[in-house]
Amino acid sequence: MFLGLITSAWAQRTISGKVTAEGEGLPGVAVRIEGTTQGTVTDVDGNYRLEVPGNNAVLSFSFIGYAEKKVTVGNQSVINVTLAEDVEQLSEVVVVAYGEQSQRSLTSAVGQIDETLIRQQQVVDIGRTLQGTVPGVNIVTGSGQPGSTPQIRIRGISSINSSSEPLIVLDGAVYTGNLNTIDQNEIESISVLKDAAAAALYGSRAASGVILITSKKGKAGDTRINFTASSGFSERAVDEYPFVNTEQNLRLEWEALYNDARLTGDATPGQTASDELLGRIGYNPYGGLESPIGPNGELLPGQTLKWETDWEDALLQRGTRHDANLNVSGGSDKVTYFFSGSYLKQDGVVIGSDFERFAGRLNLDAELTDWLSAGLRQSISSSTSNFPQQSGTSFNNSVQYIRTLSSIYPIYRRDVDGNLILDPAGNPIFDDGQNEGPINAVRPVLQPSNAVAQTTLDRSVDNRFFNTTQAFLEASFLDMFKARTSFTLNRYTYDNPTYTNPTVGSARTVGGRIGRNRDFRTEWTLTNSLNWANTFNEDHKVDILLLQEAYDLTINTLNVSKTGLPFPGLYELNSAATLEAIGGAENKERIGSLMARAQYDFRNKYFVQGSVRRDISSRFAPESREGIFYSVSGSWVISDESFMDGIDFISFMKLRGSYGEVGNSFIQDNQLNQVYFPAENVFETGWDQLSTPGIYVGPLRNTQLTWETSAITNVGLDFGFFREKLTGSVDAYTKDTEGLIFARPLSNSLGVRTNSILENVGSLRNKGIEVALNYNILRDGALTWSVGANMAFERNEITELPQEEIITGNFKRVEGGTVYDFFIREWAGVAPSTGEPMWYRNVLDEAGNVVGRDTTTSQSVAQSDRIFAGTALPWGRGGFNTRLGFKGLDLSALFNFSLGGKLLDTDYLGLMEGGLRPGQQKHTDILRRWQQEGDITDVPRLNSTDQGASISTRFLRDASYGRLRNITLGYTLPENLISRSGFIRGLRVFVQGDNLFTFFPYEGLDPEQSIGGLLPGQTNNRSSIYKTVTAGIEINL
Amino acid sequence: MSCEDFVDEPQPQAEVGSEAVFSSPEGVRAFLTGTYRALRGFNDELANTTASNDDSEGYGSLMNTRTVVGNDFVQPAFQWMAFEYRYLARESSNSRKVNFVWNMAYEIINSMNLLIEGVEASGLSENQKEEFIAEARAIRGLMYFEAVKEYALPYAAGRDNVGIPIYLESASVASTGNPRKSVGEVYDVIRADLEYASANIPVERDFKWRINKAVADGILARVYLHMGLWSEAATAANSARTTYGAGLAPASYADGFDVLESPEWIWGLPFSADQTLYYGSFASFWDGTRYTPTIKANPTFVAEFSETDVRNLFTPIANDVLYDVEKFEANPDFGEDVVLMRVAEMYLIEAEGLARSGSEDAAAELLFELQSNRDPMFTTPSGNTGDALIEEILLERRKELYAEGLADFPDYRRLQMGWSRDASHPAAFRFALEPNDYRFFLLIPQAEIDANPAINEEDQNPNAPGDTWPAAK
Repeated sequence: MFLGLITSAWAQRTISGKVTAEGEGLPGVAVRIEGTTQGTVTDVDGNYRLEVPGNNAVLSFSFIGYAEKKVTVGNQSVINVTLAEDVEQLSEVVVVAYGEQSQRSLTSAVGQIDETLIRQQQVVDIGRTLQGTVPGVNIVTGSGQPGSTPQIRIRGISSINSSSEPLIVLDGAVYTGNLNTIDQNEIESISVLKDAAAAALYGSRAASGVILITSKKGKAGDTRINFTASSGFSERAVDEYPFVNTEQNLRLEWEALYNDARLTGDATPGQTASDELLGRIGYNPYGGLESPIGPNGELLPGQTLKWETDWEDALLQRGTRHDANLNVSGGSDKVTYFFSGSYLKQDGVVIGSDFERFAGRLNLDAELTDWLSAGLRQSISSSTSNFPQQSGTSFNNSVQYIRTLSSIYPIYRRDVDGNLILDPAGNPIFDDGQNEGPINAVRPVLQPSNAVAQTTLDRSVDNRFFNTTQAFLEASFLDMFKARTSFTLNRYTYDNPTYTNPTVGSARTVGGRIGRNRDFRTEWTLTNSLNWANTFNEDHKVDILLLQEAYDLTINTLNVSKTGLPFPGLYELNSAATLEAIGGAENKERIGSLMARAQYDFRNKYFVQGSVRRDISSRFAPESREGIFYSVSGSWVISDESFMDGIDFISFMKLRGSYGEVGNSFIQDNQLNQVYFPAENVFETGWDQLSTPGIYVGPLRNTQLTWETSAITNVGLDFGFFREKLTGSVDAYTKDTEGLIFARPLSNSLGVRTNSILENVGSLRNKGIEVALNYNILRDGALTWSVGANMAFERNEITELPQEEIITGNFKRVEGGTVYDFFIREWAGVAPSTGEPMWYRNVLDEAGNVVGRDTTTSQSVAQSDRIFAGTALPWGRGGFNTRLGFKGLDLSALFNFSLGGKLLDTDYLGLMEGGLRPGQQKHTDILRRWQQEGDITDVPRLNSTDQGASISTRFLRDASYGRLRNITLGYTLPENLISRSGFIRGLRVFVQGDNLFTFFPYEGLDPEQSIGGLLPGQTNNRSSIYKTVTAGIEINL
Repeated sequence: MSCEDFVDEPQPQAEVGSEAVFSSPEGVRAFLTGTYRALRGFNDELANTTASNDDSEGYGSLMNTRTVVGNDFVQPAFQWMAFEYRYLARESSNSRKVNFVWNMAYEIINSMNLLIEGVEASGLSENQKEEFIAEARAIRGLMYFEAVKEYALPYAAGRDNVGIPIYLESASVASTGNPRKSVGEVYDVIRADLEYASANIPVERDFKWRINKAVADGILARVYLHMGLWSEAATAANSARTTYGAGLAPASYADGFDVLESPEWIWGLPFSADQTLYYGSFASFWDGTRYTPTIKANPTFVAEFSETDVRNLFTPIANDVLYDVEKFEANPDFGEDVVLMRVAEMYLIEAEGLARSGSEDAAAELLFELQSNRDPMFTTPSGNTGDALIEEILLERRKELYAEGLADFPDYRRLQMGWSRDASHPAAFRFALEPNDYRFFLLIPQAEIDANPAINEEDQNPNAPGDTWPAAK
């Protein structure tokens, strides 16, 4: 003992050295002798000097943000140390199913975007923030109506007749309401669970992936107040198709008549065409009762236009966007809070369309005792959106109007001479194309209607009110147990008052119409869990979670419409005289679940996880309603292995692998409405004959129907190179969907409603590779610059079908093909001799073998042969983002792109119908039409019977595109400037532009159309999404 | 509460199971009521769109379709039914109309098969069962009749020609499509159904939209007439009108054809303000107060009417050679009823049946009764015999039944006559049809060919001059 003391005293000596990081001295590093309280810190240059007790002493060097390093002194007297950035500390915490995990310990494929990326984008629907930011997530909005629900697809399309929309989970509870009720300012992060290991805990609803949205929490410390406001302008992001002008259009109409007459052997077809022109189109924009186009097809001299309507200008608008948000957060050791209130007003592309939302949230977290804590998540949101028709075939769809009604037709009524007709008060009168008179009275197009009148006079308002309350209580006991109970109630009200004016349009004959649709959606989730976590021998960490959950959804709908108003401008049901329709229904769904998850890690280096969930769902018959879903996964931090020590450029590397099964129970009918009882054969009530009650056969059901099951295998690699300067991940996956729910087409002659039956009959495979990279090109110093890129490659394949082929609409499904393979006629151009449209047709020998091809001019599908013309699904998509900072300036940009896939442009088809529809709007491409024998062109002759503009490869487009989603320039005022004011902590001003540029070769066509829904891969006269430019200010107090 | 109990609780709310339907007469009657409602407004669910299509909305649409393809009416405007008028709708096997007629007929046929099976298996009294099955078979026979006329050559062209698929059992999960049977086999089904109905259905009915003995006999009369069973047609037509009871009521002809209770209506479908088809309503195509470019009357057809004929409900259009048709009145609330069978048609069937089966005197007498009833100035019978009498009856059919989808084009088709549109039609649509021309018929829907293993491309109807008809299987 004495000797020991002497030895120790003898061994007392001084060690010095330098601590560096990235080649530079690191000041302020704590240097401690392990097991003692002795220590020092490094000076400004990173140097230190310390007395140590002997050779056995162990020095530890630690500094925030860097991995702690331990060195045994030995016989050294100078110890220089290089600290590496701490991967685990730098990596964010990732929100996963029923909890959080560090990036390091993650064994599954999860993509997450944080507050910065969310707030950078100006959206109404929060789902849109995922576009181009998380690989493997595809978002298509397909509408210029703010707040319209985007289609979200995670890792391709894994279902046909179940929904391919992911499950949305808000603060841990399933949310089935509209995402546009959620304010982006309240959101801390959005996680996308892509593989089975991540999603299996959501069991029978997780096959299309899961999106976890987590709201912000307060942090202990000073009260922080953040105020942000911005204002700006928005307009359509894509220009309209180019149209012919009035004179061109009249001459084309004349030419159609000329060809009609010529083909029936008329001796003077030019004269006949001139004679019939005004009868055909009904209006004369040059005034008078005489044809303005002479027998030679030219405009007669002395004609002047009385009007030339620009419907686009009349029906679309340049709107504004205003956005303001105030949030206050902070708290004490025991209680933290986050409060947020915000206002958003965004105008849409179509006149009158807008979206206005008030949203508020209060999140509270409290430690009640040292073993009991509680929390509250409370959010309300109220939005009002004027939503005029802007897709589909409705007469007052403004977009269809622009693309159907040509400049020949006036907005306001005109007399015989082409002058405005005024009402007694001297105001012009809207023309609905249904008047008395020899000319300018009866319009052959979209009649009776006037979209300008209807969009301005009519109303269709979406009022949404959303309230979510979540309360939870958590108890910790015996050091290693946590029990938690959480109850969430979502109440979602959709109220849709409509008003159709009695003056112009469809409700004129009934004296106006007032309607009201109301949906009440109530869902609650009760989750009880028990968690046991323990560490053995420091190396073995075990975490086991047991959960029990009950979910209940009730949807109550009511709709009423009444007609007969005493005078225009009354908007409530009380004002209308006659009940026209009334109906209501209730649907219910319940799921009872039990779950378990176990996690184990060894030395924070090897991770293994397993989970299992049992669901019982009310959607299915009792004998087929139970499902078990499980997953296993593991990961290995390779960079922590000793054999990697010498490889300096690799700072982090982890290999992940997972396998599991998830289900899809969101079964839909062919109108894409959820079917809550898809396995019951029923008779529908409400088929009444006046007041005699009637019932009628419902769709044929297969009582064995159950959910689809997707088995997902995922292998991933996460890496960081050059001391985390370059980070990224690569994932490869295969997703096999078995028991694919398919509306198997039944012969129409079987007479089954919808001509199909929902069955678990097919199999689908989606496989793909996802890459995400982030490179901090400059991260120290005054200038910082980082770039990120992500890319996903996808392949969809049908692996099993109940029959050789299934043709539905424009698609044919066969094994080996994709779910959206176009199967349409092949365009063969225009016959130079006659100008007739042609399609290819197979030539068969007597045995029925194809021996060649020729062309046909027959309109019938049966007379030509349909071919596979490519898939509607893109093979790749991704995004880039970059962030540049210099002193107070910041510049960031976000770009997304999609590669491959075909789009059927039926809107363009409508503009190319030539002579088929009198007076219709025409694309300038029609000017290339065939006119006389020998003309070589791809646009057929004009006449009244050719349907050259029918669906064929002629109207198929390559849908690859790129879009500059966002660009933001900001300036943060220097601290010395604002500190004088005393209470302002930070002030930033910014300008930002969303969707400013679209890179797509087809003028008029917005590449974002539809990847699912009723008309996948096809246009439907939808409004273009809008681009927005705003300027704003952010103040932190 | 266990997990299972918790999940068992939700049940469909707006729907009932089949046990409830067939356990009582009220249930079966409600099913029949719902079937008539389906007939009123059948929305083609294959159209893959939520928007309704005004040209394909139930039985009334079928009548208008048969009207615009003929010579007596013109649809100059590019409006609903323009594709039919221009013969474009029948050119494509994907067209809405080709699907609509087929789907409507077969959906209702399947429903009636289901009803018949359910009633047979039920515990209802034998008498009850007979009545319900008779009504169901009348509806089923009618639907086969409407479909076979559109998709196959007329009966008179030969029993062995290709017809349409036959189903006498309801579809189940295991069902696959049936092949096209011969025209003769289809008519055997139609006859059997309607003869059974005629023998077993009650004379009385609670509502005029139901099929009773009079209506069943009326349908049977149409079927016999089509089949060339002339004396049977005359007998059935006579039974239909005498069972119905009320005679001709000429004053009601100008009442607007919108009220089911009209004395001359043997059968029709009711509508009301809260149960309408909006612009798809039958009268929307005729009454200009709702929709101005309505279907117009051909002046050469209008010229067949005397000034004093109660059926002369045409007004010339200013600056045009065509006429507006005033026969059908559109109610402001879209709630006008639709006529499906009238007493006068039974007079005409009876007259034709008699004339063609050797009782020309009786036929001429009956024809004169109708003619003089319609026109007070028509005081002298024509005295026609032989072909001239038949011609006169066919003209009278056009004049009496115009725009009801029964005369003009359907008669040319049934009688295998050639005809052409006259100069009142625009040059591009002045079609000339040979007897049994392929353009008399619709194509088999492409969806049927695509989904039915027993019907393939080679079973498609002809769609070009020179194409041949496929063989029955």
